[in-house]
Amino acid sequence: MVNNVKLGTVNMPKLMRNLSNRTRQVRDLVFHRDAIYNKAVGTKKDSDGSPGAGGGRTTDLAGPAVSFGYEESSNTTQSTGTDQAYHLSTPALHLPGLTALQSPIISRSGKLEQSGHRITGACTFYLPSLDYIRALDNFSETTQFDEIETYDKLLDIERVIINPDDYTGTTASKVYTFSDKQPGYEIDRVQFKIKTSGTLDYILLTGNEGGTPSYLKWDGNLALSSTAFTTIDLPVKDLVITSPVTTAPVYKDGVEYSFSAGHNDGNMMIINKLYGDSNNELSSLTIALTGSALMELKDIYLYKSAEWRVENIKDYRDEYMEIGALRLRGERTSLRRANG
Amino acid sequence: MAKDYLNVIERALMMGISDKINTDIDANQNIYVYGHFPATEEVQFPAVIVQLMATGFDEQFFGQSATFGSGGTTGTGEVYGTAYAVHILIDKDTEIAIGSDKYKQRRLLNWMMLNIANYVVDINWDVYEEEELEILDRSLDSWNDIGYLEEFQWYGATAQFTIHFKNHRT
Repeated sequence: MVNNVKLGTVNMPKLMRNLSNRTRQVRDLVFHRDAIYNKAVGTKKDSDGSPGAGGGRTTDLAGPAVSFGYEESSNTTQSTGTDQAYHLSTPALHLPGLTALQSPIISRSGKLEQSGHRITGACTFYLPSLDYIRALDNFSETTQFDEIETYDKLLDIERVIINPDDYTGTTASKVYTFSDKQPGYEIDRVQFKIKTSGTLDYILLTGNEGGTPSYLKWDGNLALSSTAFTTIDLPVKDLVITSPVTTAPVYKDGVEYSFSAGHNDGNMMIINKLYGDSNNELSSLTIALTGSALMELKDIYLYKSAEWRVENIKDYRDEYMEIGALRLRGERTSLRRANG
Repeated sequence: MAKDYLNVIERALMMGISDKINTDIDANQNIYVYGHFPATEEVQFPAVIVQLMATGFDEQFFGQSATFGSGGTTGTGEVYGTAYAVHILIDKDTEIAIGSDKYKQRRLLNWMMLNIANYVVDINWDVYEEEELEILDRSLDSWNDIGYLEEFQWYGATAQFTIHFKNHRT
């Protein structure tokens, strides 16, 4: 709950609460910012005449480190040194709970291009003032978020494919079993809100692919709150389980917890291949704690997402923010189903 | 049988590039070669796209209906040419392990431009062709349009590649 923030004459949060009862244009978004990786720089010259970065690279270049214009693969903290520039670890931000009013100029549009039909879109999001956003859960607690920037992404729920019931009870794991022949290929992400005194251990999706059980397990270790809901939002496709394993950030109280994708010692699920017959279906969702505890689950969505990228920002100080956003990476669901 | 050289060359070119360049990177990773501009659902990075730009005959030997050998077979022999555009597209987040190093963005683009250039001129057509094919000459022109699409956050480059082959029909 946000306190002690000027809401302006428009009072956007109240306006959106009222509007949300009348229109689905008030959207519950996930804010995403990609990790910032170390810069590739050169600081030494190859003074011994032998090629490569061997022991000969000892003599400093005159002047500052030369930035080569591309990034390294690491985003860990490092000090200035041999071929290194100062860098503070900056992992991806993935913060649910950003409410915005969407004014669709074109919220979904097919465009014929050289590659075929592509779904695109352009819209304006109206958000509360930056002060208000900076006071939200997670946004206020992480030191990585200062303001909304271009290239930031806003993930929206385009279409809910499966919406399991809310749950309250004492258990170590809650299993949702889906109806027979449940297709999975439309699903991009899974999201739910959880409140428990326990520790979240894993989220497991099981399916049947060509008659063989297949699994997607997001494995982590996250002590949750028994008084406030934590939103978990994870991808379910395009995951890699060989080195490097796909990881996804989950934020609680502004701290990043990394979850790793795996196959639960079985076959890795390729959700695009679950087209919805008795041998190719999504079977269940399991949300498991490390031990039995009172658990509350709500707003459980397996959904098709829309990725909006921030293109321009107008900030009206205490009143609201106007974000111009583009949707560039739309897709054709029919191809997903056909090609897996 | 009617000749199908254009399809044979096109397929051999794509298979040759893919086969060679994928042996030079980490076995768990891939560079994807396409014969068309892939749809959003299909595209994976780094992407190499081979596009046929132009084709036509260059030079004819001895005119048409020349007699070959003592058997009296008549035929037409000519040098035929094809021009391809080879495009490279790399997403900002794409990372490929090459040796002990990880390559991204411009660094990966530079590596791919040079190595694709090497591969296309070194392709052993005998390995990839599906019917008799005599390549007379091949040349990859310079890479151009090297740049960055800020809207998509893609790095890319394009080069033209020309092949001359013997088209003999009886």
